[in-house]
Amino acid sequence: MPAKKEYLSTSGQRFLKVSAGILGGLLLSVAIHLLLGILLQNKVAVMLTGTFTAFLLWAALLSIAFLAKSGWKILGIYLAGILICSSIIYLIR
Amino acid sequence: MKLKGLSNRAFNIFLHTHTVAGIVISFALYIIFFAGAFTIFRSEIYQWENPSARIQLTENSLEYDQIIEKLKQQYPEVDTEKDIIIRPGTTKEPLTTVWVSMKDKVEKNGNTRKEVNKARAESLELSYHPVNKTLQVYEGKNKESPPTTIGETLFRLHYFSQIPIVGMYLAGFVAFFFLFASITGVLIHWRNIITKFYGFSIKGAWKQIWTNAHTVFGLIGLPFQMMYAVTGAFYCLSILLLAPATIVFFNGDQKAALTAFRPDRVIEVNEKSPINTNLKNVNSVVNKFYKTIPDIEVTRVTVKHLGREDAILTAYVQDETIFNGYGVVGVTLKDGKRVMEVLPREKTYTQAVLGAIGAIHFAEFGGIALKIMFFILAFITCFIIISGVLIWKEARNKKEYTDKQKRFHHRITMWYLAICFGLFPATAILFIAERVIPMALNNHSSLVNTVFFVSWLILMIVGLFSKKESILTKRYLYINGVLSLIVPIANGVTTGDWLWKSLANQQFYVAAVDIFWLLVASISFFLATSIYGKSDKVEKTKKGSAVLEKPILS
Repeated sequence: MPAKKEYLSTSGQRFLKVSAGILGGLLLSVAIHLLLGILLQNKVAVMLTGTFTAFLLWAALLSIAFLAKSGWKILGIYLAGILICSSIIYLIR
Repeated sequence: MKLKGLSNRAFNIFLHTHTVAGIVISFALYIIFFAGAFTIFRSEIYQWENPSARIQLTENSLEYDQIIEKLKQQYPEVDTEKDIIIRPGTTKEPLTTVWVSMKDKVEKNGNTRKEVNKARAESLELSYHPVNKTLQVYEGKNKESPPTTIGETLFRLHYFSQIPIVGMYLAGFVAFFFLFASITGVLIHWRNIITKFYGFSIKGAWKQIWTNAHTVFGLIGLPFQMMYAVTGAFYCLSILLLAPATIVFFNGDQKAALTAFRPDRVIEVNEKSPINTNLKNVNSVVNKFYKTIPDIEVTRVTVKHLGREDAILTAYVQDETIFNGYGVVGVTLKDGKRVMEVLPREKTYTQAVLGAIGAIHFAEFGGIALKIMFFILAFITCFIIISGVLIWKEARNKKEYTDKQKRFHHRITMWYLAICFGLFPATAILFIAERVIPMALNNHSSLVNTVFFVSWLILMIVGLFSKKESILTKRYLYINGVLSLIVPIANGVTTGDWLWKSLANQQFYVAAVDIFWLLVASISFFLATSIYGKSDKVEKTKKGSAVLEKPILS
């Protein structure tokens, strides 16, 4: 019953997806929470809600990264998301 | 009944990630859940752990001032102007614990900052006996380790804190990948989840049982496991979010961040505050809390700058009648004015979040029944982990795999099982060692710890001499049964509190631990005998497993 090989990625692609999912997913999840905190009045509430939602979002982003057709694409999307969030945060502050 | 499942591609991708993530974290996660299950009862087992705490506390007596007075007399080197933290005894843990700091030792010639810091770091943990009225050093000074250790050892094992620096973060990542494995697990089993749930039976071959049980128990335990995955990740990895949030929201000012949800953490006193000998006494202040805040128990009291004009008392309170009944009140000792309060029933959202996470993670919201349920659920999770590893191996026991690959899968499985199953008898040895190694020894706790970890290692190696998984499992069950039987005997011989005596004396917390181990012994023996019959039948029908039937150590 092991997974069928034809659906799994090559090692290069896998590396991209794993790093996009773990590192990119973490940074994007944190960036989204920080952006929400900057936009909303009650920053501390966002920060404390993030103590559980950030991990859920991170896990979701990790799962999505594995579904992607191309590792480059998903890495690019996550990096773009991180950049957009952080530039808005930078501009507002 | 079939639900709409994933596409073939998504199914195979998630099956693979679920397998890889699961196999990598499996044994670590097992240790976390196993040690965590025991840690839920840390307070309840304390009287068993420490015989000098086997006393009946009739009422929560207020003896704060008496303790501080004793402290000043017995230990003049203690600086009572620094923080004095007192945790009053409870019916579960009747001894009162006191934490204090030593006076700064300023060297005459070489007054370097390093030395001052070192002296500052010197703290003392004392324990106050509410019946004998004695105050003793618990840890610090010439005592290197606390007198007893079962609860502490298992609690620290629960987040790998015995591994220096990185241990806690490792545990955090295990928790996070557990969250990932739970999510992908639900996704891959989604299509047939209802059919499998109602089709579950414990009849038939063991292989069938553990394959189905992995799914069914995974579904039953899902809310429990998701909660622990998230809160566990929070406890170990919260810095990943909180550090950047503090920088972005508060320009890195930790105090500004803490004020909103932990006001007790930002109390400050003035070094130059004048001496005041006419302060209110601690007992009367604490007594007033009991009168003014409904349904509370004071769980901890901190006194800052005692003897000075700006002395402040902070009391941590707990309201057991509501969910998340944590609260904290700060009062000046000069005039008894409340300077800070987070009342159990009037908390804001931000003040309640961390307490709520703690309440569910430590199973502190439903009394002893909930704790027992969580304990059972934790063991069900351990079962899911083990069955996952066995499914992984069995799914690869096919002719597409070379003998070399099969041997590799077998070796990994045996190692994992030896690590996991060796922990239970090692825990029994931990309990036995706590009783058998003399309490009078100064390094009692470190000896107990050494015995625990060394016996775990020996038990692992012993298991690896088995030919196959079923034999290994059976051997561990027998070892576990025998060692579990010794636990109540060790307690009876060394303390005289045999089970019938502690029951007659109404020492239920002591008796419960003995009864627990007797239960473990009987369940172990029962399982050991029942495994034998079933796996034999399966073995006869299975072909091609001959390569695996060699012990990896012999």
